[in-house]
Amino acid sequence: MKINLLTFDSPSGSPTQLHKFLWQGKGLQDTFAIVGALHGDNFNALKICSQLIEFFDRIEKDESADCKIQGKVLLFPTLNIQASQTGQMVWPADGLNSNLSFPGSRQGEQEEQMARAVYEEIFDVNAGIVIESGSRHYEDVPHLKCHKAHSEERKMAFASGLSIMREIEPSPAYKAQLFSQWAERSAPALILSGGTPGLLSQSYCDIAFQGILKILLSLKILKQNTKFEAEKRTTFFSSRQETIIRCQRPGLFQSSAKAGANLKQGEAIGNITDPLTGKVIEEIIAPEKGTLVTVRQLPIIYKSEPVAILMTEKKKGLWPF
Amino acid sequence: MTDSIQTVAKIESPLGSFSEIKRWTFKGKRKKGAPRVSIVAGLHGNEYDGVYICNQLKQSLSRHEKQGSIEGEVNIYPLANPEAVLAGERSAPYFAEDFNRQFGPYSSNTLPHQIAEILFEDIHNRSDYVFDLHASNLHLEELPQIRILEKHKSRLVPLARLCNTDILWVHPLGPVFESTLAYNLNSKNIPAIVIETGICLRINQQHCFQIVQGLLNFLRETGCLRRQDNKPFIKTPLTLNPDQAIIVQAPKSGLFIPRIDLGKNIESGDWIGELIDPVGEQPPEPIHSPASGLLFTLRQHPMTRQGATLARIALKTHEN
Repeated sequence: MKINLLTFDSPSGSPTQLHKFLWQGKGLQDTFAIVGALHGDNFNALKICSQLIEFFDRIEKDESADCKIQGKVLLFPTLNIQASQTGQMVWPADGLNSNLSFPGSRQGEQEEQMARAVYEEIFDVNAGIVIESGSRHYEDVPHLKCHKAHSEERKMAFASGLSIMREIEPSPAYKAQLFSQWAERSAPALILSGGTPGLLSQSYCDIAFQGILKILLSLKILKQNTKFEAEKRTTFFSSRQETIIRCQRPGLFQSSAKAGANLKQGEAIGNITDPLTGKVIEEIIAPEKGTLVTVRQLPIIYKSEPVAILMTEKKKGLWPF
Repeated sequence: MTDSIQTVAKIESPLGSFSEIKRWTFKGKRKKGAPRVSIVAGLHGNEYDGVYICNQLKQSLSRHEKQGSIEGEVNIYPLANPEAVLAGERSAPYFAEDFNRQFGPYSSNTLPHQIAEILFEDIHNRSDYVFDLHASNLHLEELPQIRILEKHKSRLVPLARLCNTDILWVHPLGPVFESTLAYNLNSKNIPAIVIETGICLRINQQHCFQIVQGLLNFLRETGCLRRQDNKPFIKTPLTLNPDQAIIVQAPKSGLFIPRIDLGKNIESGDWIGELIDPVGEQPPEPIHSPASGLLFTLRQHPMTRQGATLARIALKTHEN
């Protein structure tokens, strides 16, 4: 069911509306929230949400469907309608970052009002997930992130079937981000990240779609006739197992390894060319064995910028301990 | 007595050029107890008032230096985000990260965060007081004002009263402030005052001179500059608690045409401006003041979305 949360008039056409989608089963009343595009260039989130909307609408109407909604699912395809309509990260007229607008304000600019409306909807959900693309200029292999992996987060990660789960350090402005609203309340929540902003990766969308459905099955928000068994193939990485690989020289970066690649120590990740001489001025190699979770996509690179993030095996633990 | 210019951080581009964050230092024969004061501008690249204030202050301090009247130390960081200043954008276009959201105990992998850490360390190590100068955003023009978080009120308000601004606005903490330069300096017990004035991409010389006078007064009153015999007139700011600033929001979208000047004392019901339908199908919607007081913020960007701020009014005391 599509529900209008906020309406903003427009002098040039139809009003702009912020929607939530709600499906409610007849079983337990636990609520799971799915938050899509916080930025207008997160096309992966829009596509994943569209696949989920089509699926939930279909099984809600089809009595004979193998899968049924038992709890309550809340879904927000975008939190910045105008930025999403233009395909830009933020709405250019004011440049407000929706993911630095939480917990929002009813008296603020439209981004802040939208943030507030969604914040009030998700405040007391039982669990949730935020769908992201990689950072600007980078590609992520589909993986899960959270600040602290407690048992509920681990359970969801195992259920998802995704192979990587990272504990990440909070960023400087994290308290103004949507995810921290859950983290601060210790509500079980994950960030699903993959692909690149500004591009659509169908393989990421399919992995994410399946992963979210599996999480919902494990939480019994969804139920199916056959018993759901988590694959438990997720590997947990703490932030101490991350190696940030930075360039020593500025130039043009070309990658030779893809996000998700398992690299041996010394294996090539890419190189940096001096654009004014054409000479290769730096070879970027894996300093140790590991999995590339993030690789730079933008060729232009400044001195000391990250080229890639490698998840290393040292200090690695498998769940359950 | 020496003044010097130092490079705090250097950003090397792929095409061989580089930009630098520089610090000007004016140092007298430091009297015992004379403070070190730092002034930072250009954290947001499209806010030029602060850059101009630094320029004017530098000229004034050069004269003071020749007269031997500098008794403490003044550090000026006129372009804290040089690439953004050059581009005339809030954030440097390449990095696209708000530089004043990079501070604090939490980490990030990005280059702006690394540079912010270097800048913070430099300011922290050489300051007893800090001023962070900002202009407003693309939309709103502001009277010279100081904004103080409620939690820093008792410490900062007496200092802020020395600075010749029109308004001293005490407001509640929002999560986003926790990653700013000023918040984190205050957290480390270095009083840091945020001055906001004008509108971005423009310089309001009159307001800038007012703030330069305020900063010089602060330097004198705290013993960083020798006091002069003829004390200049310094405004006593109107101090606002959070519930004493009334926000006027746009009831609908359209083009906002202001019909009053910033800084006017207005009465409840006075005409502030009107919202015009750009297609011309609807009649203009007049915007009236909901309260009496000082108009200290006024929208200048015509294109207005529903709910956007049109004006802010500092309530008259009797309406508090």
